[in-house]
Amino acid sequence: MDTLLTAEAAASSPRFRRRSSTFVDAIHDLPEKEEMAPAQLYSTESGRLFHSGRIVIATVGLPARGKTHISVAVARYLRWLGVKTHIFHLGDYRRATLGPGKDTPEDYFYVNASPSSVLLRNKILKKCREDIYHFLEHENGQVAIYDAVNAISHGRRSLAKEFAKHQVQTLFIESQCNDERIIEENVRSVKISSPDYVGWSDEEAVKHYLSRITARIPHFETMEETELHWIKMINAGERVVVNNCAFGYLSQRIVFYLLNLHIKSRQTYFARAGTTKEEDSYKADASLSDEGRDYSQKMADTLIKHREEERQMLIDAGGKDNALKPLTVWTSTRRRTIETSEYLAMKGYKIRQRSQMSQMNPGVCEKMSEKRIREEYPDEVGKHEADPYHHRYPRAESYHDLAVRLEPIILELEREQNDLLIIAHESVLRVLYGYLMACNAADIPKLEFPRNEVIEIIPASYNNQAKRIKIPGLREEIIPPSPQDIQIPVPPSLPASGAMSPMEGIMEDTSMMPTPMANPTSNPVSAAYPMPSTSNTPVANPLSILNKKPGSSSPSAMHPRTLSGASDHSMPDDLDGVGTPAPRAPGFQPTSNPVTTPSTPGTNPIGALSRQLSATLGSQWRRGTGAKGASAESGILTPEDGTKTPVDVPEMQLNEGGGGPSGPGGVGVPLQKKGSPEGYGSGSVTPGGPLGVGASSQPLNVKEVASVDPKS
Amino acid sequence: MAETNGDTAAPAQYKPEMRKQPMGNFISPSRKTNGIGIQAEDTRICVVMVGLPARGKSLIAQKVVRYLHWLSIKAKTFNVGQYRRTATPNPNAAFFDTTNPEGERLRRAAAEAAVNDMVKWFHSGEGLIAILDATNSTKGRRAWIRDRCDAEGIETLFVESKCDDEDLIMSNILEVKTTSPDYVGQDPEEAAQDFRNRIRNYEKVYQTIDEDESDLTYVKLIDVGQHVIINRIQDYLQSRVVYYLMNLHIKPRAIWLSRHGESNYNLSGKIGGDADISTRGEAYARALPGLVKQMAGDRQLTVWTSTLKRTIQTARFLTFEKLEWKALDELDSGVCDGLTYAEIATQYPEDFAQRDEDKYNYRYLGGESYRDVVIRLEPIIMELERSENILIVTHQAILRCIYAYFMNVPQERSPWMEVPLHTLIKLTPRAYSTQEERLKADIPAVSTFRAKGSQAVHQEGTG
Repeated sequence: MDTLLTAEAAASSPRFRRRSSTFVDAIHDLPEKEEMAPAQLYSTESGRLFHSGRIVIATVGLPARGKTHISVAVARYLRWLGVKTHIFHLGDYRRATLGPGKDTPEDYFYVNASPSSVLLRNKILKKCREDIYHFLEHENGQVAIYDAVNAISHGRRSLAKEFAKHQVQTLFIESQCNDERIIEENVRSVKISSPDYVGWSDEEAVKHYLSRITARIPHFETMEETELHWIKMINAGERVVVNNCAFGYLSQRIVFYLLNLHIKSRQTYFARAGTTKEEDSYKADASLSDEGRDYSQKMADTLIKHREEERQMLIDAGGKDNALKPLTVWTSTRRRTIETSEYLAMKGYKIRQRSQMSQMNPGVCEKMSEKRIREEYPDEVGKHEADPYHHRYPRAESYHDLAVRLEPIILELEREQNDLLIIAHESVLRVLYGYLMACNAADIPKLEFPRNEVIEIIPASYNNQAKRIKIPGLREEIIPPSPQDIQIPVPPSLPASGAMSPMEGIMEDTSMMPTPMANPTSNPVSAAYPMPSTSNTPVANPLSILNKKPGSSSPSAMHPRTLSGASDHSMPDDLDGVGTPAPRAPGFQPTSNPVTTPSTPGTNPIGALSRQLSATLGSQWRRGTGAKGASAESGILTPEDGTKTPVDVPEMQLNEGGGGPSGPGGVGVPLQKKGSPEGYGSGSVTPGGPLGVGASSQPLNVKEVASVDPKS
Repeated sequence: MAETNGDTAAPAQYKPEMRKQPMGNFISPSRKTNGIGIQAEDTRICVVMVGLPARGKSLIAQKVVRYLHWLSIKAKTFNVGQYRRTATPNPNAAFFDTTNPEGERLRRAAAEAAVNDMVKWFHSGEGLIAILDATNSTKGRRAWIRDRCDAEGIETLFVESKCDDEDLIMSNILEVKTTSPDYVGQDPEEAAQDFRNRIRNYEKVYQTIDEDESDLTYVKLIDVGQHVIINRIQDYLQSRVVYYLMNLHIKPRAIWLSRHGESNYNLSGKIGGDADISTRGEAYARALPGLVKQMAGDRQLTVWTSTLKRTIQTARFLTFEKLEWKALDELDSGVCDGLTYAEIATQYPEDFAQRDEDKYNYRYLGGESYRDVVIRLEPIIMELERSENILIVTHQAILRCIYAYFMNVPQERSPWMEVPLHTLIKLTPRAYSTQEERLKADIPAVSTFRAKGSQAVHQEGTG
């Protein structure tokens, strides 16, 4: 393919290979049920869907054209559909092979490179290809995304031929930009935040970076090969050219997705709707209560203030005056969400309503206490506990139903170019968050979005990062999740809950209930937010559970992945190897393990972990290189930092008695930890603490309470 | 939805009002206001066909409408040719000569009438997507349409079908155009000749969509989707239409549909389950290759079955490549799985009645509705559109949904269609409609059809 792919040569970086296969092997270990992805409609024994066979998606394009962004986005979407997908960033292999601190040879990308460079290239390519084959042939992988420059036509032809020999189809995705501004923005947002450019002005850094690309990769041929399957995205999706892609359902589906994708980055915020006058009725579609209105203003003010600070920060860092994108607000068509947005509408923000974003229908469980649900539908409760994601109570929707119904929203979400505030019911936020952060389906029902936080999802090429912005001054009663989720979480052994407060019946969502959810954090009332009181708590991931299989998350399994990821993957693209020699600050390392990061169907413990990592640590690169970015990095990335947040009890630690690879695990800062039926039986109990109101009334749950992170 | 007063409800006994179905009309944006706030955003799109005659524009238009209907999205075609025909029923090629001012005037008038009706239709509030089916072959005409739609707040999506393959064009002319209303009662040879002349007239002025129209939202399908250029897609619904278009091909093909052979559950009147086929079902399985031969000749087919035993057993004597699709599994009847209709009527009387009331939206307790099935079948439909000759061996409800897609059967009727056992159905998609043939095997089977509102005697084998 590109200059990089040419021949053979043996390269041995055992470390590297081991990580890669650890990842996949771990997936193998999981029960099938847990492998179901959020919007997956069915499963097969081979693990491959739609009779689409195996596909390699090879990216084509110069650095800073958004290739990595496209790779990650496509992988995110395919996994959401249940297609086993993995990304292989060639740049990572290069860095791994070169070893830390070594520069890529100057002529590495040249067509007529020196023999030693050719040898090196081949060695790197071979390793990467071997991993791809292994993934596709031995690990039930269906789509391997091969993220590289692939600059030369004859290289691409031979790449396709090579894969065809293994009965693998090759689909090329080229990202082409004629628009200098897009390239520059891209460089600014992902490339030049590296330590190399500390002290440079944005403009100079961009210029320097671009000139280096030109010098290092002088040959580039855009895709014109009529016999190959390819998709060319021009100027961030403004135009898409598709050649010969009707070879499979999946390939067409990918095109569909790409039609909605653009590579400009923007923020997504999630906020709950305010409380209503008839809080526990689904059918009533009630208006906001006074408190709800008060909330809507405080929420909006907090968000506006936050954005203003952010804008100021960007300007201080040399950004332009219009550094922030305009904010659009999406609500559902339910009254409470619309009314929550009214204050913002008055301030002139654009509001759009989306009927698909209506909350999950609670079916027969509406207004029922948990006790009554248990009495009347004992079988349903049993089924629900076994599979809270897919089970639907009579006449209700399951999370899976909701995810399928939200698929158009996901495509629109990708399409939206403005910053976006989504005001919706918690059930909807869970599913959307699950998509953006690649959560495991089984974890989605347990995500928590207390009302006193706006969640900010910051996109980056490698992975998204979630942050919580605290809304001050709210009354505690309105903070916890709303009672409409009754039907969803009915954890086992919950005693009759009639006694339990207004939210009777709500299980995992009610942070007031001690339930198995052990995590102190999940109780907003008592534990509230032990985090620093700054309005921006970096990285809180509502995902409460890192993985559900205590056994499978053994430290040994984990290490290869998390540790080896360390040094070589600090930069998300090709160029880093090319140009910017320095890896990121050491603090970054755990995060940037590219192999593991972006994807990982949640079920894999290791996968989940790394997903968690990526989810939380994700994009240190934020927009620009402002002070904020820096603080985020330092705050989030190192293991010690991870544990800073008291709330966060990485599951692994629980399973391993608190020891474990605390570093990487700790980073995740899963803000809320809830018990799940199969969850953390093994966690040591540290009751007390901020267990919250319900604690005493819930003796049953204590044994399931996971330990509170001691470090907190 | 939910029960409001369930204190007296005993376990597993549901109150009637709980059975009210969620409408699940999630795909089409709601046009209703809630009486508060801002009106729900509704996209209205005019799909403007562009291309010379005999490039499959009408075929595309008709298919898009059918697909959207199937997904519960309101769509309608406005065929400028039909407006023109009312003024000039049997025009000759000279009419289409651009130097003929009278012809030009009439064609312009027809286009205006079509656009006016379309705007009216949008304003009546029922439509989301209109398709303007005409050649729209000049930049001037396209600019006019866009300005018109912009002024009405309607998005435009231009769809150009470009094809230079003479063979394809001629086969299209012979197949479609000589049967077109313009040539009613004329000699086919002459008709074809006249039509080619008509195309030449268009060719003189035809302007493909190019760079100076790069501000348009358009899709250019070159050589039937071999190469596609997509420019400035504005929203999700547009991208959805484009996605569908990319899956279409116009090669001649047919689709064969069959239910599985009679199963033991059919015999006992039970629905659902994963039963083996009966002796008579077995006889049908053995007869199937012969039936297929009779209808399909030597054509090479691909066989799709569900993952349930009865379809796999039914298809096992066919020598073609076989694929099992989970998505083709029978409608999941939830708690009623394994019951007879009589038992359902006794155990779940309200359900039984409710299902009759709105069968399309009725979702079995813990199971699926027809609407749910349509959603899960969408990938199958896409795949069917991409494929050539396919034989599908599946189940009653699934077959009804697939049949409804090809035959454009409305939702109120599709769940009630009679699809007998031991019958092979052949569907041949044509430009203006789909042709259907049925071949009944001479092997008796129980009837699994139960008419709306009828007693629970004849079970509807969801088999």
